[in-house]
Amino acid sequence: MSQASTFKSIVCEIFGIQESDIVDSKTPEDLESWTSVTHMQLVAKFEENFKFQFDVEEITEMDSIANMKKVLRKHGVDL
Amino acid sequence: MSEQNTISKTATIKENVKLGKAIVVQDFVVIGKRPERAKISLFAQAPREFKPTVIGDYVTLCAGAIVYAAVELGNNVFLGDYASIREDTIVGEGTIIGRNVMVENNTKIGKECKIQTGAHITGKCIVGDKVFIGPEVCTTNDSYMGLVEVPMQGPVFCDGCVVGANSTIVPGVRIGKNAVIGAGSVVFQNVPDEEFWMGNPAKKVGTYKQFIGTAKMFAAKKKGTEL
Repeated sequence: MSQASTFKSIVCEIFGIQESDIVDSKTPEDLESWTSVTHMQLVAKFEENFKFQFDVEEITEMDSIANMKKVLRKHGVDL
Repeated sequence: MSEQNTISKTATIKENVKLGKAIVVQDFVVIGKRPERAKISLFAQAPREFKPTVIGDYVTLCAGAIVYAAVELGNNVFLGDYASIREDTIVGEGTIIGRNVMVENNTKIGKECKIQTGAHITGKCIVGDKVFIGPEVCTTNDSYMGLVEVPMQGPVFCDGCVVGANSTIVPGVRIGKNAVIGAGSVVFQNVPDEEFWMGNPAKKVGTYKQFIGTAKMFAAKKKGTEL
């Protein structure tokens, strides 16, 4: 599975959404299931699957799908 | 700041009590109370002598608080209304103990802790420095609830750990340094340093770092901090 597919699969699984809902502009305000608990689960899944650790600031920065991708790309994830 | 003590006329200060300076003692506070056991208590013991009760400088004891014999309160300790600190317990400097908090005997609480309203800190419990214990957290020290005679041992809360409201921590469990326990958890096993656990039974759901990063993001978003 490509890293892009893994990314989509993780986001869909944790937020309980369809791939079509993964839109760069989406933030926790737009997705009811994007809570502090699911955000943490997402972070843990990314770290586990992509084999790196975020720092605290990066976890804080991932406040939209676009920013999430930006941080992941910084760690070399091919999206 | 005045160095005078402000002591309500309705407060009771028993014998063998050493008071620091600039202390505030509100209505119906009792300092130096000797413990009284039920006549049929399994733990009945012969009368004994107690060390002095020591109240540090700048301590505030709000209305109805009870400080038992041989308790030591460090400087700047604050006890909310009706808080009760049982005998042979030490509370470190700058610790805030909320309203209706019960701290049982032979417990040691470190410096700059925050123990919130209604929490129950069991006997023989050890609380490190800068620990946060949320409202109505319950700690226990008898694994078999009186059915089997075993030595009692409360949980150990290491420096900087955080325990969410209404969690229950069973006897002898160690909550690691900077560990985070989510609200309403029931913790049956040791939680390693820097981990975030929650649920019943509590399980690892993340790390301290992930918790802090997430909390900061949601605080900024003002969506809620329901962790």
